[in-house]
Amino acid sequence: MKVVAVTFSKAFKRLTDAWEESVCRNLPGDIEVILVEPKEPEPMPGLDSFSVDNNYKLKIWRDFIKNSDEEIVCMDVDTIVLGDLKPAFNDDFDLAYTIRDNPHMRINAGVIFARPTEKTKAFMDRWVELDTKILTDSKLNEKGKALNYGQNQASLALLLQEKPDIKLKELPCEIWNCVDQNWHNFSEETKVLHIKGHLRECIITFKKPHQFPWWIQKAAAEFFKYDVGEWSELNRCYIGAFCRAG
Amino acid sequence: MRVRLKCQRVGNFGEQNPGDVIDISVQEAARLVSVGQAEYLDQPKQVVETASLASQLREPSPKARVKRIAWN
Repeated sequence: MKVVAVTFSKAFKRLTDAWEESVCRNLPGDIEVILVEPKEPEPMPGLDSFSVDNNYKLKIWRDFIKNSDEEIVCMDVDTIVLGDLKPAFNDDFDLAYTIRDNPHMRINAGVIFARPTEKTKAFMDRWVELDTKILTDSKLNEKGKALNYGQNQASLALLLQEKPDIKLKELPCEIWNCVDQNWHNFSEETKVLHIKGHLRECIITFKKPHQFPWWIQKAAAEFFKYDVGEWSELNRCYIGAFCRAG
Repeated sequence: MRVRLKCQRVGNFGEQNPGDVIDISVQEAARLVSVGQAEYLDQPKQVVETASLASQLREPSPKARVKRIAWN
């Protein structure tokens, strides 16, 4: 099995370092882990960098899946890996993505699990095609985002409407991609914690997060276990704040 | 397997106070006891042995290493 993540924003360095530390601590040694470091995508006039960056990331994921001869997990770098990811492949599917209980943001495409079958490769090609199209086709973009907010998620939702010929599997976010809306369900079963929302903003901007409610503090405390390098001193201060917070 | 612990210090994200009893997994219990945040209430010997075994089982080696790849 292989794990691939992409990082190109300097703002994400702290998150990237924590992701790397969590992978080294919590994944077994027989898993090949690749961190792709491309140049930052050129800004495109009239388009926001979030969409452009995510489209670029999806193209890299597609290329890795198409060139892989083994099971592959593609994941966002603003995640923390807490356990072995291989058990996700116990089920029979070509491609699996994660879902949460939210009608407007049901899918989170921050972690996908793929077997590099011909059907998966064709699916990824079409996903990239739609994802690129919604960058400039505002009507289609609007339609996609009404189905599922986000860049890659909107295009994936559009693709799912086409009923593609592929064996898909929906995995629960609370285990395989624990996003902010699932943080209150965060448990020992959780394999991937996705650092989102205000917590991510705090980490990037060094704002102290101890005023957050308990479920955000819980996710933050997990992140700080893997916050390394030049941030370690600051990390200790944060942990102290958590212990004092009531 | 889960065990009961009595907290000795404020901790665990600030939710518990000293003297509180919490119900927790063996692995997490072993960690909290090892750093002096809590003490066992249930069958300490068996729990400690189980926790020690669990921590050994949780340590597959070697761990994964990350390969960084530049991309153009």
